[in-house]
Amino acid sequence: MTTATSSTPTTAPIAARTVSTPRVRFRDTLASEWTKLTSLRSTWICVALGILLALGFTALRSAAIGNTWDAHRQDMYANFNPVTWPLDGTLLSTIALVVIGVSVAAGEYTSGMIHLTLAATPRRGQVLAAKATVVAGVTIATGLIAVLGMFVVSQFIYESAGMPTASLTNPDTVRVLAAMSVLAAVFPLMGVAAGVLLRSTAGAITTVLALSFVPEILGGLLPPWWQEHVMSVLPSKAIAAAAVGHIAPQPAYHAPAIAAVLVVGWVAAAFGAAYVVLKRRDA
Amino acid sequence: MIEVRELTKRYGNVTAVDRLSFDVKPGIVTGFLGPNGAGKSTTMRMILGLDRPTSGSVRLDGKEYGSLAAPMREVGALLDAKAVQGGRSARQHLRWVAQASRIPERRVGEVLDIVGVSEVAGRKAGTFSLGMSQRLGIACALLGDPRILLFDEPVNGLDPEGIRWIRTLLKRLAAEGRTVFVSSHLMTEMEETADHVIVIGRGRVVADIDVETLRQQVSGAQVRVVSPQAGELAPLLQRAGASITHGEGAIVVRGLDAARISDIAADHRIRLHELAPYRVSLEAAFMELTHNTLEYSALVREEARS
Ligand SMILES: Nc1ncnc2c1ncn2[C@@H]1O[C@H](COP(=O)(O)OP(=O)(O)OP(=O)(O)O)[C@@H](O)[C@H]1O
Ligand SMILES: [Mg+2]
Repeated sequence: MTTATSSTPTTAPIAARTVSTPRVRFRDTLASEWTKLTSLRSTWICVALGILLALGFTALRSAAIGNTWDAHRQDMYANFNPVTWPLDGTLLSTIALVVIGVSVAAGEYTSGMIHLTLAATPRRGQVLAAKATVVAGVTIATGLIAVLGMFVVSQFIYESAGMPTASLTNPDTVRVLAAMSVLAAVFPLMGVAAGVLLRSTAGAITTVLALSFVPEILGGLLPPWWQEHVMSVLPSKAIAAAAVGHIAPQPAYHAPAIAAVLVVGWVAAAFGAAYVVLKRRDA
Repeated sequence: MIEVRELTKRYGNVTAVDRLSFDVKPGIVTGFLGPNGAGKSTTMRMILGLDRPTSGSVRLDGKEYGSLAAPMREVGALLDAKAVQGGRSARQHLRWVAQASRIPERRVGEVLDIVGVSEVAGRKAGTFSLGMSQRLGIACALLGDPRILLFDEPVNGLDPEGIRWIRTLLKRLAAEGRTVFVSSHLMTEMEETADHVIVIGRGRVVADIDVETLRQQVSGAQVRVVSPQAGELAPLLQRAGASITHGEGAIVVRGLDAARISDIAADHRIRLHELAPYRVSLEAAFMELTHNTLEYSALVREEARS
C-alpha cells in the first residue's frame, strides 16, 4: 500500500469552499440507496435465483401435469386454470426477493454501516422511503420477468401436452400477470420493515418467510371459518386474492378490491412500525 | 466549533455520559481522551445525531446536526472503520456516500488519492486490513470537505508510518481552519498532535486544558534530590513550604524550584549529590487525572482560575 505523499494537497483550503451548501434531496438519498443495492453481488444473485427458481419450478410442475393430464383431467386437474397455475413458482422467488429486502435494512445493522447512512441523511424517514423505493423497483422488475417467463414457458408445455392454454392478449390474463409482478414487492418490502425492526438478517428473513409460508402450508387444513376470517386477512392470501381472485375465487379469498386494501394495509402497518422505531431508537 | 452542553446519556441504569460540557474550537487539534468505557464514542455518536441524548445539547457551528442542509459537507466523521459492508469496493462505498450527501463524484477519486488507497480502490472493502480500513474511513470523513471533523480512535491499527501520516494530516486539517476532534485512550498518541485535550473519566470532564499548560504543570513542578543528608534536608525544605515524597535513595520535592533547594542546602552545609527536575510524562499525568479524583479536581480548578 502506498502512503499518501506529502506533496498531495490534503483538501482544498477552507477558503476555496463553495459558500452555499445545497440541501440534500430525496433523489440524492434514492441515488445512494440504488448504488448500495446494485453494487452488491448478492443482490444480483438473488435476482437471478428469483427468476430461475420460479421458472424451474413452474417448468417442472407444468411438465408433470402435462404427463398425467389425460389420466387426471377429470379429478385432480378439474379446476385447472392455464393463467393461475403457472404462477405457483412465485412462492420460490419470494424467498430470494425477501432476502434482498431484508439485506437492504438489516445488512446495515449487522455491519454497523447504518451509522454512516444516518449521519449522511439524518432524516431517517427519507432513508426508509428510499430503501423501500429501490427494493420495490428491483423486486417488481424481477417479478415481471419471472411472471412473464413462467407464463410463456408453461403455455409452451401445456400446448405440447394438448392441454388448454391462455393467451397474452386476453385482458384478464394481462391483469393477473401485471398484478402478480407488482405484488412480488410485498414480502420484500415487509422484509425491509422487519430488517429495521429486528436489526437481524436471520431474524427478519425467518419472520417474513414464516408470514408468507405458514398460511400456504396450514391454510387448506383449517376449518372453513378460519379460512374465511383468519387466513383471508393474511398477506399471502390477500396477495393471491388481489391478483387472481376475480378468475379463480377460493374460500380464503376476499374480493379483489378488499384484498388489495388489505395488502396495502399490511405494508403500511409494517412501515409505520419501522418508521417509529427507526426515528426513536438510537442508531 | 462544537459546543457540547450538559450532555447526558443513560443506557438503562448505566450513565455513559454525565453532564458533559465543553467547546471544541476551530484551527486546532483537540484530543478527546479517556480510558476504555469513559464515554468518548457515545459522545461522538450524540454529536452526530445517531444516539439521542437523555438530556443536554450539541451545536455544530451553531446548528443542530439534524438541521444541517447537507451534514457530510459540514461535518465529517470516522466512527468505526470496520463498519462497512465488505462486499462493495472502496470506490463504490465512497460513491454511495457522495451521492447521499450531494457531493460531486470526482471528489471520490480525490479523497482516495489523499488517503493513499487509490491503487486498491477496486478491491472489496471486506478484504482490507485494519490500517487500510482506517484510511478508507478517513477518506469518507474528508469526502464532503467539511469544516468540522471527528475521528474516533483513528490511530487504531495503524503502523508507525501510518501514525505519522495521520498526525500530519490532522495538523494540516486544523491549520486550514477546521475544527478537528480526535479521540484516543492514549495520551502518548495525542501529546504530539493535539493542541488541546479534553479528558473524560466515567462520562465526566476531568480536564479541559491546553497541552502546553498541562506539560508545564506536570514537569518542572517537582525536583528530585539525592543527598547523603536527606534526613536533615527534608524538614528544612518542608519548613520552606515544600512537600516531600520519599523515593528510592532520593526525595522528590514539590513546591520549591531547584535553585531554592540548592540555596537552602548550602545555607545548612548539606551536600547534594544530585538535583534534577523530576519529569512526569504526560501519560503519567493523564493516568493520574483519570484515576485520582483529588488530583483531577485540583487540576480542573487550576485551569478554571487561569
Ligand atoms: N448502546 C449501548 N447500550 C448500553 N450501554 C452502552 C451502549 N453504548 C455504550 N454503552 C456503555 O457506555 C459506556 C461508555 O462507552 P463508550 O463506548 O462511549 O466508551 P469509550 O470511551 O468510547 O470507550 P473505548 O475507549 O473502549 O472505545 C460504557 O460503559 C459502555 O458499556
Ligand atoms: Mg470508543
